[in-house]
Amino acid sequence: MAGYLDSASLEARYLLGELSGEEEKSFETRYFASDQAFEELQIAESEVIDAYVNERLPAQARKHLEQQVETSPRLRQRVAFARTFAGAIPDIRLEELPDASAKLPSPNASLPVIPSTVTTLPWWKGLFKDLFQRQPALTLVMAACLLLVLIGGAAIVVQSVRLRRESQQLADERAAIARQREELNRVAAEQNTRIEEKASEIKAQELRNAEELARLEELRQKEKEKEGSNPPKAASSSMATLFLYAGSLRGSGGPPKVKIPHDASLLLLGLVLETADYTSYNVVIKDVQKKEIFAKDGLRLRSGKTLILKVPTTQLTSGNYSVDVSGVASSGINEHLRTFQFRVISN
Amino acid sequence: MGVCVPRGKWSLTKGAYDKLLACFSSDEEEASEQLLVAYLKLVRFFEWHTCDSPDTCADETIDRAARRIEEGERIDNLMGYLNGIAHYVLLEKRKPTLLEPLPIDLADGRSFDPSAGDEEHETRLSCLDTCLEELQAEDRIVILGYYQEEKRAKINFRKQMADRLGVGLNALRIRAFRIRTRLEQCVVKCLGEATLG
Repeated sequence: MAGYLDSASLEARYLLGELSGEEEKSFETRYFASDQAFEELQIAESEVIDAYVNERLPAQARKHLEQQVETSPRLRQRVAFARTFAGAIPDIRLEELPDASAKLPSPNASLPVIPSTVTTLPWWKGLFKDLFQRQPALTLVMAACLLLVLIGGAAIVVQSVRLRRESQQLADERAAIARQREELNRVAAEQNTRIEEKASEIKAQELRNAEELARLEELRQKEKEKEGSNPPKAASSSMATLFLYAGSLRGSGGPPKVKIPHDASLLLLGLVLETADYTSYNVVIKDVQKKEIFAKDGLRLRSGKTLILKVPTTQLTSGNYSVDVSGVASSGINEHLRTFQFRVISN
Repeated sequence: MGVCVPRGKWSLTKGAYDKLLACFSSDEEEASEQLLVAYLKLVRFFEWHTCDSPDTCADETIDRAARRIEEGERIDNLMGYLNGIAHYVLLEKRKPTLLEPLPIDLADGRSFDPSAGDEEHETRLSCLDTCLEELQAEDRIVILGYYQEEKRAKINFRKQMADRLGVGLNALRIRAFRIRTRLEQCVVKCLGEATLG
């Protein structure tokens, strides 16, 4: 069978009556059940008819087919067509077929490869098909320019989008920073206000405390004088009072002044410090010549940060005086804290 | 070979036809297509078994199946059932007969004499040219290239064609057959129009 048919298929053998009874029965069962088997059988029929028309069937197969053709108008038509077709086929070159792959088929010695005269244009050439065929160079240049424009445009768009996004991010960050700064300023202002208020409250409180202490000392002095425990110079019932503040400035009017009454035997001096970090304090009062006229050690703070001294007025004549305050730490180290200034005005 | 003569006592009713279709598929359109394919397969079967009037024998086969279905017979594999009935029909009709000469108007292809029917051959050739022109260019080249040359060179050429088209050899074979079928149908139609004209 392989000698006169293109393929020695089961289908061809069936058509030519060459299968056994069992083979035929099995084949027909498959043929009825499968549309693909049906098509294969029809293809085999064409091949058998072609072999018959080209006189390639052996005698027995030829006779079997002729019997079938005799009884079938359809097969008669097919044979007639096959005969006409076989005599009308022109020469076809392989290169006339479109090439599905990039490379040409493997070379065959009997069929030399001839460059194809039929070309299939790539899709991008199809866009300018007619123009390309007439002016290929111009079309290529135009296509290249168009491509460059498209690429450049795309790059510009991408860059623009990126810059816009970055610009927006920077603007957002700047706004956030500005908001933060405002918030911080507001908080700082509030805190400053609170600090100032507190400081004012503290000063007022300390002033009140110092005045209370001074009144208390005055009352004690009066009690003592009443009991007659103090000798005269004394029988003086008045006391001068002066409070000096650590935070105060000298101002344009000079140091704080105190007018000592003629009959005042003591100056009640209150020193309001900034801190209360020491165990005890030492105070030294000097005149303008730096001569020590009064000193007191081991003073303790009263009512927060106030030191109270009772300075005999006999030492205080008109003039400027300085008050050196030093703190004594728990280790015993003496540390200068502050120097106050005041002026005595005689009555 | 005997002639297929229908039994004649039972005829296909609409009800029987609908039941037959239902055995192919619940979808009426799909069932109709499958019935047509079954009919074609039966016609071919009778043709290849050299039955006269293969169409009539195919009708007889289908009628018998439809009758059984209408009578209530349950059929799981309808195509297999038709295959069986077709063999019975074939056996019934096979009786030794003398081959009678066919009418002259059925002579084309029968005498196998290339010189016979020159006029019709020319008409057929003209129709073939017309029908080839109606094919798409690639289909035309495929069908002509597939059938040119002889034997060994033809096989090599077909392999090269398949490679060039990027398909397998069997796929090329099927494609060539389908193009040929369209070409044959076109030529038959053209011949019929030429006869009427």
